[in-house]
Amino acid sequence: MSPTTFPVGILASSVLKITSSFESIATATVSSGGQSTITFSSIPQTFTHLQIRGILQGSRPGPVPSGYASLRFNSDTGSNYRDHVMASSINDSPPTVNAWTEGLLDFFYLSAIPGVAAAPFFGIFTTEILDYSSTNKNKVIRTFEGMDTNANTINGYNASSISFKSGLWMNSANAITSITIEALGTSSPFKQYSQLALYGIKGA
Amino acid sequence: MAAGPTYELIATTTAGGSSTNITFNSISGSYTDLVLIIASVTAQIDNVGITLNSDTGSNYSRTIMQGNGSTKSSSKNNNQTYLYTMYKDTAGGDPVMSISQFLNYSNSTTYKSVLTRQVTNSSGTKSAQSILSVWRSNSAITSISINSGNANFNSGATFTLYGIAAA
Repeated sequence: MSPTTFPVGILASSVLKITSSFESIATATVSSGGQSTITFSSIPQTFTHLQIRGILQGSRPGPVPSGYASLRFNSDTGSNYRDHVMASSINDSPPTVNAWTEGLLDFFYLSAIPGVAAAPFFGIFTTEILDYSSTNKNKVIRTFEGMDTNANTINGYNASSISFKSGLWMNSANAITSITIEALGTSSPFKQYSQLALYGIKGA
Repeated sequence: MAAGPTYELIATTTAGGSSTNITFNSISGSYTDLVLIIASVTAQIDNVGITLNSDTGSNYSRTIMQGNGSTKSSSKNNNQTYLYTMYKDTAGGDPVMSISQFLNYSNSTTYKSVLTRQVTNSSGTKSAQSILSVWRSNSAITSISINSGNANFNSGATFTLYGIAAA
């Protein structure tokens, strides 16, 4: 598809603003010194759902191009998290899609984060946390995440990926009041310009 | 403490049936993310691509995961000349739609990444795709140009751009 084949354009119009039930709660941006853990605490209980959007870059050294970020609720480090993953597998021949279950673990796998070998690319994700303030239901999340480095492989390792995840936090009694996102192991710390934004979505 | 409502409509346009291109220009940098929804495309179109800031260089890449009800696959395309947002509809007639999220589009320090989900439900091609795209530029995104490869967008196809501000 060549852009030169599209000479006819029309300018979008109709500038409007509408009242929204989607509200920004807090944002964290990593400064030049890096940061291993980002926590949103004292989350208000006035919404129905939460959403986190983020761009993340890690600092994993060596030839492996990516590491991983984790997600925990309420500082719970017990084995109470389970992930269900559907992900691309670019290195298979032909490239395919795989699905599997993780857990029970003491964290959610949240998002791939490029390391030193894949700089300056960032991993990105959006996560929805449903009925986060319930005190009688286990909490479930949905994540769309990945990283693209304009390469299939770097140093022989998979260098680009995309996945959908659903997750279960087996805690029905407690509302989610804090969210901690951490760069796992050698991926730590998150590098400068990494950013996480937390939003609240109101129900009717 | 919540900073107040966000997710605002920036602009919307409806195709008139005589254009292969829709462009959102002069996009404000006052948001953190953009969301672009393309809906009700029923024309027999080729792949729909997006160029940012009129950049037609080989500065785009994408990772794709897809399924069509019977098979699943993934693919990778590097050094492309456009972002990919909608799979071709080889038959036309049934609606195709996509939603794309441009994360941190207004900074001048990082490459720009886009998460897209799209569905095609034509008689020729039924599929659901998720796409992660990258534009290798640190420039803030100020224009989004949506291009249909081989045919005009049908009359009634809608293109809506939202902005989401972070606290």
